[in-house]
Amino acid sequence: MAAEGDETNSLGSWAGADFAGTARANFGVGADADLPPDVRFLAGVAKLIRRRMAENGAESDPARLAVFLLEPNARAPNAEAPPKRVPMLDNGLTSVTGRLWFVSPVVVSGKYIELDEADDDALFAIVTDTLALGQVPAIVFDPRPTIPTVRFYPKGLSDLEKCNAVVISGADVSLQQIYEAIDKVYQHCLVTPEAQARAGKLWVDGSKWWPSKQAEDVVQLYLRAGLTTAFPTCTVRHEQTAVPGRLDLEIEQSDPLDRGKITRHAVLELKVLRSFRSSGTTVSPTETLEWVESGVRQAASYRDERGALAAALCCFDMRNEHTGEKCFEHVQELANSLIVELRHWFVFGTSEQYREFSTSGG
Amino acid sequence: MTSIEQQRAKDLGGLQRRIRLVMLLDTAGQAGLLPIPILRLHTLAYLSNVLAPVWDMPALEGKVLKRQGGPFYPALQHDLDRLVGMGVAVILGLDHVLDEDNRWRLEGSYQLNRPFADRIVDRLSDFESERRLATFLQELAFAVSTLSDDDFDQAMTEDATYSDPLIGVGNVVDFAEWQRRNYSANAARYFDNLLPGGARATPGEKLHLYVRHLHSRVHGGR
Repeated sequence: MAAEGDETNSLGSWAGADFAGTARANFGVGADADLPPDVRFLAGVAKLIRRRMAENGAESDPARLAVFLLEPNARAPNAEAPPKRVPMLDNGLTSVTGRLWFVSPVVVSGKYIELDEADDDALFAIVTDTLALGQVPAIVFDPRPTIPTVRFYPKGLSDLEKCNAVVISGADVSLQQIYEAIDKVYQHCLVTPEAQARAGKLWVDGSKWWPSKQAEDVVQLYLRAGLTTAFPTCTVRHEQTAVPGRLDLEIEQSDPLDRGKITRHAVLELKVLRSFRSSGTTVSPTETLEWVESGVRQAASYRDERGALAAALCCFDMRNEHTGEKCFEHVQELANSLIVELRHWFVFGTSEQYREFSTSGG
Repeated sequence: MTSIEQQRAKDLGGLQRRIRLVMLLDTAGQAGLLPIPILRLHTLAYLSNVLAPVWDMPALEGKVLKRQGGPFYPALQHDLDRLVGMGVAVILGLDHVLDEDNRWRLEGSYQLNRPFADRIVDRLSDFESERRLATFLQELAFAVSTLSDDDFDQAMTEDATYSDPLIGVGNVVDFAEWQRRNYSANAARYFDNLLPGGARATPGEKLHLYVRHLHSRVHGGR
């Protein structure tokens, strides 16, 4: 319960309010504010559908498609049926199927029009032709199969080939699945400078193996977006303060009916291994070995302190020599005893280095 | 300060307000809140001032006259009318209403005139400080979009700072000018230590939680 203090912290007439109840009921909303809009949209819709499916009475929702468009300003096919607004859509109390939804990236509120068309193609045509919104990112929820499906069309319903299946079952998130998600991020965003967005470069000078000072932050942001995309019903938190320090990433999932009931699937400690600092000064092999060992201990401490189910040390190797998993040899026993998994991804300074490595049997 | 410097400071203040207005309208649009009625836009502007510390930013205007019908910034309204005159914003459903002070004022709803406004929004995004401001205003607009029209109109009767019973209608609500009595930002920050499982709330979560709690209070929760 909140208490009144001096003016710098006083809550005025809100003193004594049930803040904890509000925090519990709305846990996680807005936690992804720094992620790209399409990633937030995907996560928001996935959480909403999961929540709706868990609600009592959801089984009597219409067995028809729900279409979500990342377009908050609703358009109606005819003026006689204007869009209806649902201010608190994310509470899961409103049926979503049989409707075309217009939502913002956070999917906390939305507007909808009823979809009367039984034919899927006619329904898609409403979006692409009648409303001319075929380029807008869309998610289609189909409740008709035994296992309902969710499909994400990042380029909109005009590009049906570009479609990703979305898992909303809330099944366990294993470290193996997490590594697979990181592999995708690595291949698409990290492996070479060309794969990295202009605003998120890992290198100051890749040809000299000089990583950016912000390399850890850049890796973390890419991974947060990638892991949120892979596990859209989870919240991927970063830089959480814990007793042993600040952990890098944790993947948690709220119960669909009680957001305050959380499962922490994993904590990930991220380390960038360097041969050089951003200024070009060298990093000694001893420093690197100590860096890796500290990562193992941190991962174990954070897992225990946060009550997470698993912990892993994920190293992004930006050194000028590709030695594979050798960087873990000195900590393998320690990691086994602390039950911390170790994974390694090599980041190339230039695409020439990557090609050379790939063609030499690497 | 010389008269020239005073004029420059005044001009700069007006420019900052107009930039903030363009951003407020832009972000309100991305949250599906457009066209936004005049008084709701002023309420959104007030919230962007009073909750700015949550995003570690200063309030553009640290005080506002307390009115029965909610916050109203005359200078901001003047700037808004200028934006309409310049073609950057448009007003829809124009009408006149008699306000609580028995004075006629314009009523209507605003939105950006995209062909003109987009160039301004694009240019603003070149500046780190404006990108940061836009991120804050965007998340605030998303949070506020969970209020129904009626709840939005009632929100100031429960806002932690604006509804301070010690400040009567007709007096100034000062939260960042001469005083540091910002109950709203304090309340938003208070959520930091209350998340289940010991998680620390992000600034985005604090904004959403503040608005959710405001909503709860409008409906009788405490």
